[in-house]
Amino acid sequence: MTKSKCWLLFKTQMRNEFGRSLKSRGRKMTSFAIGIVLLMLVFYAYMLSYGLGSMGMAEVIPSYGLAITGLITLFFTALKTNGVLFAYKEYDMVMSLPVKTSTVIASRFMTMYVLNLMLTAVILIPMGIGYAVWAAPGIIFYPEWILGILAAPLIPTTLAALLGTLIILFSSRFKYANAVVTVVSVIGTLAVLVLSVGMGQFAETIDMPEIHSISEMILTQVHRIYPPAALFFQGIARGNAAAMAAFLAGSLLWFYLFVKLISPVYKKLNTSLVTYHTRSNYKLTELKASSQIHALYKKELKRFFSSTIYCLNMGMGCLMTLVLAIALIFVRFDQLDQMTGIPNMAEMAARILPFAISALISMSCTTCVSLSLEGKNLWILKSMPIEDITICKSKILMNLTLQIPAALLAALIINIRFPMALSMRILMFVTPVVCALFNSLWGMFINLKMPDYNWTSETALVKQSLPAMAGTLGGLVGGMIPILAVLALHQIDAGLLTGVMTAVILLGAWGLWGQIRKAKI
Amino acid sequence: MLEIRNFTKTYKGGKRAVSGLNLHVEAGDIYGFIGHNGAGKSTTIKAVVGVLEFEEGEILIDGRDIRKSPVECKQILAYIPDNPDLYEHLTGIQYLNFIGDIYGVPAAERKELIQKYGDMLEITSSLGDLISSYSHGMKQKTAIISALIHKPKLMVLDEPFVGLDPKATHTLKEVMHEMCENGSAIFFSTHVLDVAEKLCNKIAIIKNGNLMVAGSTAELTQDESLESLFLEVIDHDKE
Repeated sequence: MTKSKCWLLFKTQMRNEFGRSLKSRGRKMTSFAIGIVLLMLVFYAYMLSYGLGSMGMAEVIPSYGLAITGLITLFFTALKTNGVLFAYKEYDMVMSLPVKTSTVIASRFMTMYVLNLMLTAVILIPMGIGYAVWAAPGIIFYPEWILGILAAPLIPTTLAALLGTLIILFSSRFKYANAVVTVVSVIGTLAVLVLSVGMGQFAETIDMPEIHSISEMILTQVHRIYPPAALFFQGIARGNAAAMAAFLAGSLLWFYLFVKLISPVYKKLNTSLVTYHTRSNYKLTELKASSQIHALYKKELKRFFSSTIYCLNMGMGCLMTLVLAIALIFVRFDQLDQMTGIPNMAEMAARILPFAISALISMSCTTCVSLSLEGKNLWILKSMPIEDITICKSKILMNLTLQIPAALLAALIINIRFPMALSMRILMFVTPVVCALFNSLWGMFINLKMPDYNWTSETALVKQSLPAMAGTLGGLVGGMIPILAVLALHQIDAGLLTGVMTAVILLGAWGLWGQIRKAKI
Repeated sequence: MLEIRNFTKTYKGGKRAVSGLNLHVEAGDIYGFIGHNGAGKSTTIKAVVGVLEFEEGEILIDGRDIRKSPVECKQILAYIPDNPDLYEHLTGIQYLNFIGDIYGVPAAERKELIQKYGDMLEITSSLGDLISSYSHGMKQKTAIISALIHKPKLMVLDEPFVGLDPKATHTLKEVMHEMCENGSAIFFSTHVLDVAEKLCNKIAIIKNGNLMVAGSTAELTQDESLESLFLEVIDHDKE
């Protein structure tokens, strides 16, 4: 009975999660775009395992695969806890049903688990194939690997749920709770970035003759970062059935304990999460008047910084630009060839940097979703005495506020650190600014063409909607084309080529502006 | 103040929500718009305030066409929907200040009006809190203040009394009378027939998108109650 109730709750949640998005506008294109990303992930995972196998490090694959999926699950689930496991919209309705609290938790957890399982399978199935190709394991490997895939998301999902709960409990003490969650999440993201860069540098120092000891070192490191991987490694690579059983049993036990531990405090946790920070002691003081555009712009800024999902996803490009800019302080231009092992790297870097910065900041495209984000608040804008173009301008300004300072700071650091021709020095500032303008207008244009005001999940809108993908990935791809052109046409003066392409992009921006002026919200 | 001429709205798929509606709201009127669920009240109201596009008919606000001069019309309009979804990431005062900026209300004047209506609706002390922490009634009160701070000539409300406590309901009625005495007009939809009967000098009853009756409340009801009139009109086709 309990099992069937759990299944019923789970089924309804999944329908709720996917039902509407499948019916929404641009479904085919969105599915196509998601399909491409998944295919790229499959390809990446297979090539990673193939690469490790070809270097004689096939035994690293199980641990590496499990650790990668574990970290990805941990990171993405921690952000999702609020809204799936806790403080979800239908909490009151679900909790009033004649169902045990532990059944509700298990059903909510199953939703997170199934979503993570899909991601885990996309990575671990091709890695398993890579492992089978190079390690030629016995027949027992195949059922073990499948069981491993099924068990893999349990521990990181549970850990992430705990981590997410702690972050939310901490932030709920503050008035601007979402801003606190955003800051904590940005720090977490930066930590993951630094960690992965550190691991990348470690991988680059691999010396082929030392491959076996390196393999041991990688295993030791991965097992230290993610201990369940050690049991999985023993089970798969060493054929230790007891270790494999311990991994599977441990994952299940951990999940069982989580449900049992959280059940008694579930209602209390939820209550504290949905209890708002209020003072109710406000006294009216002097108010400051602003122009329409300034008021709309301030509203956009507040909207951006109040949503962790929006801020983190759409701010990532600018954050990465800032990280790159700071990293460049420590890089010596004359040592670039030596550091990277690529001949003429310094010269190449000088040619591509204006567009590399542009591509990075273009990933921060708020305009491609900011109109859709109005959602159920759209009536406010529609009933106000403002021109549609003023609304668009405020959203474009918001995007430029994010992109331009990041681009200019990066350009300034590059100008100080690297020697280059005067024309390139100027273009280092001009090109990213023009690209930011184009990207902001491009995002606005596609959101005007494909608005979705009836969304139910902000996460789905910001991460998976077609305009979001067209805005962020489109910006990245759009930035890559000029980079490839600059590299391919290396016989032409970099300044001239960059200048001409910048002018073409500016023309494109002007064309988009003309379209936006005519559009209606 | 508000003139609706032959307004027709057909949704995608061919569903006709409103058919050839004609209404005239004059300055000083408190005009009640009555009908059952799905009769076409909200569709009409959304078209009047410029939220909903329409193809047939004309809607004039103070003599101006809402489709041809939307900004000018909206400048003298105020709209409160049935479910006031406000910007939850703003505090009450930030939202009201935002509205003041959009309508160009001078800072001193908006402060005075926010204080006045905030105190009347007993919400001033909560204006520093985020709207996400507000109850439905508090959001409704904030929406009412935001509609009043720019002194609209025409206020359009969709089910304004739903979710309001008795004191706030009384205050809103007082404010409506005060506005009409100053030459503004009120056009609102409601299910609460008692309120409409006592508050409105004019009413209109709509059924399945068609206007059934419209005119002075006193003349239409005569010796019977508004409830009897409503039931008579609504059940007319069934007989």
